[in-house]
Amino acid sequence: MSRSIHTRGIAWMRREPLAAFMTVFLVLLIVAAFLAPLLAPHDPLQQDLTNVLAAPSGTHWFGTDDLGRDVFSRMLYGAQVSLTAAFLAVGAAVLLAVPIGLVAGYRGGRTDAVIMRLLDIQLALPGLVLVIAVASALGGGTVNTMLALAIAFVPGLARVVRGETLAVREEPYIEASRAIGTPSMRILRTRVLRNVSPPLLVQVAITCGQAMGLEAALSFIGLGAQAPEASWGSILRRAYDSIFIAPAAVLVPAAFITLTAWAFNALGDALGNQLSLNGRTARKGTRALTLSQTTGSGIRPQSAGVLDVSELTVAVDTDRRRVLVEDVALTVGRGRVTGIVGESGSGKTVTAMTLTRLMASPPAVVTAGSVRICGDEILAMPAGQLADVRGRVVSMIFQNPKASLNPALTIGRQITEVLQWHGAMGRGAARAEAERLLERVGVPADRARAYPHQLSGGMCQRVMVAMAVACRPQLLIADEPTSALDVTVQAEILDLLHELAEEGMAIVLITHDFGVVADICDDVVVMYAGEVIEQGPVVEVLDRPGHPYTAALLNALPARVPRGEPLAAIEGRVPAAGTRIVGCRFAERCAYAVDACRSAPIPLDASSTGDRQARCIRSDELLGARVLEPESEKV
Amino acid sequence: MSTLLLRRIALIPLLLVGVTLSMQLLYLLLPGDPAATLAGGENASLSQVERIRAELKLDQPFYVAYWDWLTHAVRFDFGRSLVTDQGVAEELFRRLPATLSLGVVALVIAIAMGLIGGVFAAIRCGGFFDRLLLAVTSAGMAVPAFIIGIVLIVVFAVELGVAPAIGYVPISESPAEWARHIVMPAIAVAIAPAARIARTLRGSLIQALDSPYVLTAWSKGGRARVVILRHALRNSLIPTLTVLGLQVDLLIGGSLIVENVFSVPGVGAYVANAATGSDLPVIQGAVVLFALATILANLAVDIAYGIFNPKVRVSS
Repeated sequence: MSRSIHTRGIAWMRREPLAAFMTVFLVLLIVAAFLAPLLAPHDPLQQDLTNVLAAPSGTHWFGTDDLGRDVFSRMLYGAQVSLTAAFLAVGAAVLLAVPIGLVAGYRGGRTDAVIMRLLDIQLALPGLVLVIAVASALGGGTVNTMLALAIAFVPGLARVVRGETLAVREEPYIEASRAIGTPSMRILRTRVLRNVSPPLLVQVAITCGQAMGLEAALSFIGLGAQAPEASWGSILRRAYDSIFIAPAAVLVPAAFITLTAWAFNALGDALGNQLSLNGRTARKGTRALTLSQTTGSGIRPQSAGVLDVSELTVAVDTDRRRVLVEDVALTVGRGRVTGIVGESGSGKTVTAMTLTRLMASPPAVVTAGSVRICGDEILAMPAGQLADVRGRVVSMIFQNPKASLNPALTIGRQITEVLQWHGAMGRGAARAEAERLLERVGVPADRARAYPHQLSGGMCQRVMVAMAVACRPQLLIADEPTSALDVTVQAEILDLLHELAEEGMAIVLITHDFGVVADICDDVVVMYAGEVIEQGPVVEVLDRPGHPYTAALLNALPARVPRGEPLAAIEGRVPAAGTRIVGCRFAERCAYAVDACRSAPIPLDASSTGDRQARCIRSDELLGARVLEPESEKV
Repeated sequence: MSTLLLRRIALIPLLLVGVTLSMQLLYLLLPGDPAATLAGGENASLSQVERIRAELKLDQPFYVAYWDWLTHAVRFDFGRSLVTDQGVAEELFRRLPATLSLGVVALVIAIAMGLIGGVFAAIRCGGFFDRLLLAVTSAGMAVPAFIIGIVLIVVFAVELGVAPAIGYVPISESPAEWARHIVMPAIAVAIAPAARIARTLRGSLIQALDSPYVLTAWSKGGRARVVILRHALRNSLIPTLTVLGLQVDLLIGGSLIVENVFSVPGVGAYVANAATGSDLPVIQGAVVLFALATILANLAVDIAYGIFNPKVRVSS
């Protein structure tokens, strides 16, 4: 038990070295302040006018002040004053703020409105102004300073409590608790307080940091601690008054005030991270800024295809054995529509993104293979040339049209900018062309000045299509372009894509929907667990699948199953990306698997008839016999 | 103009009444006989005490006293300083240019540093510069502005002698001297807001860079500069703007003591002086000014919000 706390502590220190250091610093400081009478080498009030403003030395570690008093001893006693003031002020503020926030948040309605309006007044006034105003009425002295600070802190803390209470109150389990008649006080005590505490703790740590700074500020201008009592702020003031004689003297109190305030802040930050209130951001590479690395791929004969992919393998950069996509080959010719089909996790989107090198890298990295678009190797292209190809030679359409358009720019602007980047077109000409393109995809030209949020999802996808085809690219890659749309709109978008193909554009269509494939694709590529497991002309593959997985997918389609019969779901799940499997990756879920399936890798051309290839050694049997005898039932 | 904005403008007088009314309550906090305390305690002459009592209506209920103050205040008469006997409104007005120039310069510095820091940290997210920025801003948000000012004086004025330690020259007198004097206090005040702006921008820009519309921009063949600055930054400025409005709090609070440190004859130094002498009429007058500045800054942010966020603009 203690061991696990120990190791967890070390892990925390590694993750948050700053906060760990600051915690140690704060603990030492608090202990030192507490033990000031024992630790101080000199009486903090003992003057020595023969030795004023002395530099640090063996007897006076931090030197002496303008009255010859030992600064180290004064700082120790000052720590007592400053820390006490901060802690008591924050403590008092918490005691006041918690009930106010709880009542406002829990009662809600009019009570909440009145309390919030009162707290709003504080928002209209900078914190330091409020503290100074209150302190000026109360007069100087540490106690009055604490009161002034406490008053200034209440609204901020109460807001946090109120916000959390409100959030907790809306939780279904609290509502249920109230519905069964649990007394309010009990709910507040047991449930709400438990949820309010973590964010409150973070706020308290940050407020302590503020208190240190504010107390120093008050004492610096002469409110706050009054002589002979000295806080860090008043020590700083004395040093500041002699700044031209002994400039370095200000650095000691300045450093300690800074460090302590910083320590509380860092602690609050770390606590927030720990309680995941701050939403940690994982390390992420900026898309496409890093070149994907390529290996292999010697000089290849140019093929007639618009898109030629061979041996494409994509892995995770931290662990190259974690392969996302392996050995994918693909050729798409002019005017052809190729569908890439697969479940989520099959690697179809990774493949699509890699075609234009839009995979976030890191973590993804191309470890082998080649992607040629119109003969140019995409994977080895310098960033500048790549930007020139994207949008002009190859374009993309994404799944969520609303999120894929920039919310802050008009759709007209988003279309004209592609034209201007690639076409050396003037602003006016680009605008006219954008309107023509919008009309072409069925969006009224006057909508060019609309923002994406003013259009429906279907309209947005039309805009995406207009944008993608603006520069008449050779290749269009559409990643689930209709998945987020209504059925009727789906059909219209598909018609649009079909027209584009008839005009000669090559299209790669990523989808999980065989219906879409049947509608507009010429060829289909079926992916499973990062591999192509079957490919060929749509008519052949859909009619007579050469791989049991394809067959199973087709059998799971409602349209293919007679009314009243159950849909054939595929047992088991897709293996996680990077799982090492020697033989067929589908074998675990396949009803037809035999030992040979698992013993060695299966090549894609294990079975090929005509243009169709399938990665299955029993494919011929499957195709031969209308119904293949399932292996599992044979026993 | 949206109705929301109009409502917020209509609320301004109400907020000001709330603020000044709570300031009036300060008189109730004064220990002993308020008039005697304000007159300077035991040393005050009886006539002085009675004059203050009559002038501030301290012998009457506090709402009567407040009403008296308010009816004068709407005519820009904030009463007279108890210490110097000068008109508060005139004094504030005389000191406003120095404070304004400090605030504006500090704001410009804060925005510039915050934008540059935030953008570079975001595009190198997780890298060395990013981690450095997180550590530096964590310190920057915690250090009181006046301490930065003092350290700047020690380093640049006393040790290096490249900048004047204290003082202020109006811009109308000599723009060059004005700039030389204003730069250190402005940097001192700017650090904390800059740190907050940088952090907020970093966070929202990282999110924006990861968004589908930025992916679209890359896929259209956008160069890094265009994608980051036009597509991502534009959207990440929206949350940053909100934070910008809150920085006025730090600018005013910071300049309060910083003016004292650098002997800038501004409103902040005036208030700091008045505070040690319990000169409440001065405090109350200055509070109106500060509150108005804070409220107007937040209003300006709301308006700017509409310019950057078309969703707000169009639906209004």
